[in-house]
Formats: sequence, structure tokens, C-alpha cells
Amino acid sequence: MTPMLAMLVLAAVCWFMRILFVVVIPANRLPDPVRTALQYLAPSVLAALVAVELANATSDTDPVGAAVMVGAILAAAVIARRTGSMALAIAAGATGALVVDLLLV
Amino acid sequence: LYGAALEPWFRDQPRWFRLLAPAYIQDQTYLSTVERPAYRGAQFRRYWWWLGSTLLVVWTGSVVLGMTVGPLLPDLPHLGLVGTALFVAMLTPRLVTRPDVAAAGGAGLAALVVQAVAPELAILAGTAVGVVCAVLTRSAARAS
Repeated sequence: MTPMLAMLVLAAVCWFMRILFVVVIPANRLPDPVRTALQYLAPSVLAALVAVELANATSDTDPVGAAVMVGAILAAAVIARRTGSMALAIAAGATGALVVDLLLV
Repeated sequence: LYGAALEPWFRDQPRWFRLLAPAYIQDQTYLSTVERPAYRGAQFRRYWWWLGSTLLVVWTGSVVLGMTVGPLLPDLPHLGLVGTALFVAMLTPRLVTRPDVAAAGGAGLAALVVQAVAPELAILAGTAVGVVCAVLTRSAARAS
């Protein structure tokens, strides 16, 4: 299989997965418990992403670096909660990364 | 699953839109759309095309920019923490009800456990456990 054909097949599969519950089996035909569960998809996905990303980021650093990164993410959470500002929360994460990579090396 | 969650926005749209527009479904478009429950019909179509197309341009442009500028920067192996902070900023405003908190707590813990055993399944398994925790918490609250 050529790389181009592989990419086209992958694109077709991705597209089909996206239209599956929109066109093929519309979600309004799903059972009520399933539709109820879908409203909790966002916090679940985001929390799983945060946990995995943070675990990966801290896995190759010393305890001090890991503590700085966890602290930066906690600070981002507090900032986002208090101010609602995504930019400030991202700045907290960037600060943590820069401290670990530039000051603690 | 994102398609299923977004189906109400696509339900009354023309068939061409329902076939083509889901190509833009991904984390960012899903998370932005669920914050706009009132968007329907032509308003949603406009929003969706602008959101998806802008994201496509910014995403691709950022990749090009990163590959161009990256070699000029000092080694910053933990810059990915910026992305984690972004996810945190998207998560915290959603922790409103007890099931929301149960979803996040369950998903985070499960993802960490699965990460140690099968890293490629961590996010998927964490998400599934989070949803189950939320549904159980909601059921328990209604029963009491």
C-alpha cells in the first residue's frame, strides 16, 4: 500500500467515524442513559488529558522540577477558576515550563 | 463520541452539511460548540465553518511556524505544559455539579492507572471511567 493510499484510507475512516452518530445512527436514536452520559464527556476527556499530559511531563524530571510543574498546573486551575482567563492560565503553564527548562537545568 | 454529543446541532441541518461538516469535529470544535447550545440552523453553520476553518489555518500555520522557529529556540522539552494548562483552563469552568467533579476525578485517576499499564489506552479508558463515575453520582443523588 502506498503512503498516499494509506492516508486516503485513514481519512475515509476518520470521516466515517465522525458522521457515524450524526448521519448513520443519529444520536437522538440512542437510549436515554447513553445520551445522559454524553453530557459528561467534556470534563472526562479534559481531566484524562490533563492527567496523562502532566504525568508524561513530570516523568523525566527530578522532584523539584516535577513539583514546579504540578504547582504551575494548579496555579493555572486556580487562575482559570477565579478569573476565567484562558490566557493567564496558559501563562502560568508557560512560566512553569520555562522555570524548569531554563532555570532548573 | 464527539459526533454523538454534537448531533443536536447537526440534526436539522441540510444533508450536505451533515455529511461534510463533521470532518471538522475534534477536541477544540467540540468544546467550543457545547458552550453555545443556542446556536442552530444557519447561525450554527456559519459558526461551524468559521471555527473549523480558522482552526485549520491556525493549526497548520502553527505547525509550520514551530518547525521554522523551533531550531532557533533553546531546548524547551517541557513546553508541552502550555497545552496542559490550556486543558486545565477549559476543564475548571466545567466543574459545576457533583457529577462533573466525579467525572473529572474518576477520569484523571483512571487515566493515571491505565497509563502505567497501557499508555495508548489511558485517555480513552480515563474518559470512559469518568463518564461512568458521573452517571453513578447523578443516579445516587437522584435516589437520595
